[in-house]
Amino acid sequence: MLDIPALFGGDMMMMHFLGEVVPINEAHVAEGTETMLMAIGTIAIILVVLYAASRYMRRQEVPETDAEMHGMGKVLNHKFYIDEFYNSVIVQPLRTMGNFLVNVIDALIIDGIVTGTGRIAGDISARVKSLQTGNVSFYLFIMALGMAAILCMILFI
Amino acid sequence: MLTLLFILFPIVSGLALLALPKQYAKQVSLASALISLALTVYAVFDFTGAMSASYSMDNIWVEGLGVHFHIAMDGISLLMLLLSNLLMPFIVLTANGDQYERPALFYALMLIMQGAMNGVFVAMDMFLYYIFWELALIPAYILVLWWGKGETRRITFKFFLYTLFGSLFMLVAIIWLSWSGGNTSSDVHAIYNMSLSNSAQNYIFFAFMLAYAIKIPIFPMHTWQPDTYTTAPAPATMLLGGVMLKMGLYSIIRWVIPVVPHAVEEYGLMIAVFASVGVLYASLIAWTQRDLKRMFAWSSIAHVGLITAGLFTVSEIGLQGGLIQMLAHGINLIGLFYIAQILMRRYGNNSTEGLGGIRSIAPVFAGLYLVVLLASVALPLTNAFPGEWMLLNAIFSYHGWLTVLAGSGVIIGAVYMLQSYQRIMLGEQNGKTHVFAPLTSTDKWVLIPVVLMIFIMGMFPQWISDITAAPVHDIVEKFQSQTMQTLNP
Repeated sequence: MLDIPALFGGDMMMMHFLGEVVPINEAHVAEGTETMLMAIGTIAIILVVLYAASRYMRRQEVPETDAEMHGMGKVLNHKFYIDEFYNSVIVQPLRTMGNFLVNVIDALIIDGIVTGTGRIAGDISARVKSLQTGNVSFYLFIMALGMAAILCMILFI
Repeated sequence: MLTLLFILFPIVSGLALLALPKQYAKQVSLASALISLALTVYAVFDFTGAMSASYSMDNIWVEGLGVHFHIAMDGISLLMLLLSNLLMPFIVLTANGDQYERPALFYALMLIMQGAMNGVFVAMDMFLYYIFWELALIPAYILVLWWGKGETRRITFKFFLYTLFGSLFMLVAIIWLSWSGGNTSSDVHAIYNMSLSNSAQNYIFFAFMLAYAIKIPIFPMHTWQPDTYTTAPAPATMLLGGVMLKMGLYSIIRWVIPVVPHAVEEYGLMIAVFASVGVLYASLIAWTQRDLKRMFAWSSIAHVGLITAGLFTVSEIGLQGGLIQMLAHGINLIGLFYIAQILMRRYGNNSTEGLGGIRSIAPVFAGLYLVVLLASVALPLTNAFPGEWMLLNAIFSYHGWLTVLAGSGVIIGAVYMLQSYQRIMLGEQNGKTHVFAPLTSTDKWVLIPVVLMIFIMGMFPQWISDITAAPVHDIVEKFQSQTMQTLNP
């Protein structure tokens, strides 16, 4: 695919562009099959060109407007409605999902957990720091309580 | 000595900048970056394939703790240095078009960050590695906080919270590895030769992976990244996305796969699944974005998710593909974010709304933009194609169904990238886009080499895989023998 086909004398210079890292899986197709496939494609294109030339150049037919089209012509004009089908079945649902992921999963859930953790730590520190009043007798009282608690643990546990 | 220069030269240049008059900041930092690049090019040509003794330096640093100042280069380290030092001159150049307050400090922090990241890539002692890992973070925080735009305090806090959380777990794992189970050294040889129980490997694996999953980032540890990339000044975004996140990917290859192979065998699939889900997740979100920088940030999460999934296949093609892709991703990211910066300078914001028709008045810019864009969606013969192809190939061989998730990024990536191009560059001009100031010489000095690198790397990727072939082969072979021993004790 990345080289001139062997049929036209390609020398497979891209074959080893990833060296020995990527193994080469050569596909062998009979030369007759290759020629036949190319011939079918080429003949199909020539037929379509001849048909278009006959209809629009020799017979001078003017293509009808989109609004006037009906039946198979309308379906063909809309390319079998493939684009509309893709848009409603694949594109729109995926875009809706993308919006849901960024606005709900990302912003509310994942980010909520991360920033929530930080906020909880901040809240706890805000409450604990209010104990630091600068009142030495209060600190002594807390220290005495702590010593009593340690003493109780040593004696009774 | 050369390896030491890769660390010391940028750091010393950065510190020297602080002492010099500020009008020389740009020139001195560019000269420093170019000298580092020249040294790297010399190392690439001089490199013989094995971990050469001439590029190794091993001195006891803290004797009582068994900490060594051990730095060395194998092909993987060399490629990472090439990434860092190749991108740095362009990153410095991209800052040229903007005026930053305290420019000496701004450029100094970027150079110090470069030196620290180079240190991460060559450190062969876990303690030393951790020091460089943390050292690289400090300039990143300051760059985002002081020179960022928007809610920098809130976003830097989130960035800080995430990375500190991950780093602490990694520190515990390093301490455990270095000074337990009879081991008394944090040197790479001692760590590689440890015989760890399966449960110990599992704990260490998760402690390391938490830090790396945040750094890379992998879904669902990623929410710091889009905000930080969007808020940070463009050069800092390029440093973060182009080089710094590769510290996490590199560390998986250097410090996870060889150290805890059993845990990688057991839980590697789980990480690969998260990474692949992240590819689809980030691609879908990127599609909904109207801010170009934010879209590129989400696109980057998708790309690095694919690399991570490929690394956990622990195959030669997966690791080689991942390494090639790391370099390609760095080059493309510089191009994409610089394009966003060019538009930002001309139109005042990064919104794609209200633009259009720029191609008709700026065809050269349109062409360069198109090449960078096509490279980022891995068009054949551009630099991202070989790596992505090898990664998808490895993932398909590992677990075929994962390719559906991991490959979705390539398809959806093409959709949102081309749609954004259509909105910005094609169509009719409007009142806003009827003028487009011509590209400056700096713009051309950044974008034209980026485009050349895209084609050169896309057409001749073999020389990159030659650099990393030997160490990758050793890592994969050792992993396979270790995991086989576990299966057949």
